[in-house]
Amino acid sequence: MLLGVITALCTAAYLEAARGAREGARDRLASVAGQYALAFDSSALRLKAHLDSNASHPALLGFLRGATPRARQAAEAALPYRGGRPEQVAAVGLWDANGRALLAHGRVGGRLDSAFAGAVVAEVGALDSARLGGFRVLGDSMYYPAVTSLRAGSERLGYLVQWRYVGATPQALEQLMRLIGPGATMLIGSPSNGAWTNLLGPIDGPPIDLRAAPKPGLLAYDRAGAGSRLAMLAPIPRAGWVVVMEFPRGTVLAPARLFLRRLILLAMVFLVGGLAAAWAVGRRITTPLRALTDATEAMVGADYTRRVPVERRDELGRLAHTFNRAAERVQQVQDGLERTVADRTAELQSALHRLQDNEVTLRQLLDSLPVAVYVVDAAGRPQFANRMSQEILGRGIAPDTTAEELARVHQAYRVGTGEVYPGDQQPILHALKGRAAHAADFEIRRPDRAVRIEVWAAPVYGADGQLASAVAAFTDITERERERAEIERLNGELARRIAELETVNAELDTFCYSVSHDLRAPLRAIDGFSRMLQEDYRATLDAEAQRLLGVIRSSTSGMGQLIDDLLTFSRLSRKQLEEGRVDMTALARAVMEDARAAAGPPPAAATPPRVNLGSLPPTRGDGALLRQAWVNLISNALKFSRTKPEPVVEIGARKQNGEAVYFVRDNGVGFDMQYADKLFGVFQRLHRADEFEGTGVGLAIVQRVVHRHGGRVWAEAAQGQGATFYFSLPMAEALT
Amino acid sequence: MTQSREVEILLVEDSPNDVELTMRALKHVNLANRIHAVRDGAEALDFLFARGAYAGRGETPIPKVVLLDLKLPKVDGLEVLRQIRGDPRTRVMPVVVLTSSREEPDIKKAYALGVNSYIVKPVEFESFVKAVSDAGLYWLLLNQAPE
Repeated sequence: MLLGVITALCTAAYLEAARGAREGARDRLASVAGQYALAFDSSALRLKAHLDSNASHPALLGFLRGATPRARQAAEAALPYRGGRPEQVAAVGLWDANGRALLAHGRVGGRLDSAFAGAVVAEVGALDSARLGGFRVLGDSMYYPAVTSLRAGSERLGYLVQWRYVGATPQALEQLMRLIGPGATMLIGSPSNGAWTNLLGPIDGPPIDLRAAPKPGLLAYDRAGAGSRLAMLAPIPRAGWVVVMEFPRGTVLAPARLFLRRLILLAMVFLVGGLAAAWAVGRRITTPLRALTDATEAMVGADYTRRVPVERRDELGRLAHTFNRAAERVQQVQDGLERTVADRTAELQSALHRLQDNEVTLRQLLDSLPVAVYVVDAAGRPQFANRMSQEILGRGIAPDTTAEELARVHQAYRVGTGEVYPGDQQPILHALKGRAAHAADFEIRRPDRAVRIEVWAAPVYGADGQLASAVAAFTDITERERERAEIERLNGELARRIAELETVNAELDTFCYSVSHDLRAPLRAIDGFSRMLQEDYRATLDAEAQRLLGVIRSSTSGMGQLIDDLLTFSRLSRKQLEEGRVDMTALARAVMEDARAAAGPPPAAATPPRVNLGSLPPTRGDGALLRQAWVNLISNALKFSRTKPEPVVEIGARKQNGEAVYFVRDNGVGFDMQYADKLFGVFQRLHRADEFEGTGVGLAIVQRVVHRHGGRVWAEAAQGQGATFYFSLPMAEALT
Repeated sequence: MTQSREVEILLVEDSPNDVELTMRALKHVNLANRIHAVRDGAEALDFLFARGAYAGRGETPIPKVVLLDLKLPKVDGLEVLRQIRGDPRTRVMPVVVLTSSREEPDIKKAYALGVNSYIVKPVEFESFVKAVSDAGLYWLLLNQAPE
């Protein structure tokens, strides 16, 4: 760039110098040409004045008026060198008005015939005063015509023509050249006919048409064989000629070129020196700036530890110092920022891990549930389905569906209709509107099987209180529904059986009533009339007849007892339990006393039974029924121990496993345990009727009563070793 | 069977055997001559309210006690009892139900209708005699009927 500037400067300087040189040359040329033109012009003025003085020369006029020999002679005498010296004028002629040569003196290098004269006359035109013509080369010399009209009054009689030399003496030329300066050429020419001279001889004129556009300024042209020229033109008005001062262009521009060369040399010197100085200065400025730039770039590159050495106290030094302070501050802020970011990042990562842990845990939890869980977002798009959900549906979520389409996508039908579940009635749709919903009439028709499901749906709200999603939980109730249907079927069957049973029971009631009423009446008649027979015909009936009547009455009594026991047993089964607190101790004691009273006084030989009655826990139940149980157990104990020498009956109870176990123990005949399973059946007897009376209903009654109270009954015995009968009753908490 | 004397016991019993047995039992305690027996509920009501066959009985005083079997032809014992208790003339008349039934509903219904006593007829003759004569004696001799 610097080189370009220098080049431009040099070029400009050169052009300026060249312009100056050209202007100098132009001024000089203009000055010289002007002076010469002025000189020539004043010469022409003098010449024309001289010539005009001949216009009325009497001898010449006289000859023209009449060509008498005398006049001719006078004219010839007057003619020579008229108006000039011989070295100036080559020839003089006298022409008539038509340009015909009449007289001549002297001679020129070529012919001066009439045609030539005509051309000159045509050239100079109608003359009021003398005129000078253009240069002509005739032979070795160059001439120019000077023509004066010869008139008498207003009548033109002819012309006086002088052919004057063009040229200068060597002295004049030398003087002239000195005046012009070396290298310069002076040309004088007549543009009218293109003849030019350098005052030594004819010469080629400037290679431009000066007639067409004579320019006042500096002319530049190339002269063949002489190179580039600069020229200045000055007209010589009175002669119609021009002066051209011509310089070789090189001569004019030589000082400029020399100036240019020197300038370039100087520029080179300055350039080298300047570069060196600039390098030195630049180094002094750029080194700290580069350090600053490097540090700044380092800072941009996140290296905040870089500092700039402070070595100077100028602006750069202050800049470095300020930079260092700024860098220090940035580093502090950056460090603080990085610590904060690191802390926050750690917290975020920790929170993220916890979230991920929570999510994993939640997913595992949801997957481990035996309930299907299906979640849709607030817009109804499925988001999640747990393992059970996928098992029941046979597929995962359909992410691109809407809640309305869920039933169709998962082939959910409304049970019993054969139609896809209406989209807007699905529980999840209700949940999306903020209402919990439940439905159990879903059937998923999978390719392999149909699954009945029960669905609960509920809205889920975010921390902002906005509906975030909806969750549907559902379970496979196929089995349950099947079981329910089975239970319904069984229940129906049961109801039918119960109805049958009730019918049977009603029939049994009728039957029992009949037995009770109708069977007893004839028995009563048999017994009563037998008794009447015995009483009324005592005298006529012999002993055998009396005995037979006794058998009849005894059998009748037994049958009555049997009917009574059966009725009691039957009634126990159907009687409504009237529950209340029952004092078992008092009840057992009362029954025992009644039984002893009923048995009447024991035979004299027999020992009355010893009865041990302990304290019995109270219970809750139907006192009348429980009394029946005690009656049968106690009467049995008395009955089967009465053959013992010292009958002992023990009544007691113990508590075990939340039950009260009551027992009645005797030391009577006992029984063989292999028949124990028959003990509590109706009409089942282990003893012959002639050993111990009885109908075989008593223990059946005991068992029925105990069973109706939710208890158990059992016995322990050995043949001849006595027997113990137990019955358990649930202990009422309030009574223990 | 006699209508000449004042009837103190009305026996309502369809079974002739039971009638005879009852009469014999009451005879043991010398009450038999003041007994009138009818064979069904309709006849019992006719007798008590002096209508039908008994229309001419006039202002005969009501019996001192009625021994009423529950299982009767035509009008059963409970209906007879209901009508007895529904009529101001017989509302306070002692009625002893004398039947072979021990069925709870019968007993409860009888008490609900305002029966005074309930005696199950035992099969055994002696017990029967004792029960019947006790009932007759009690109501005739011990129980003061409101006048």
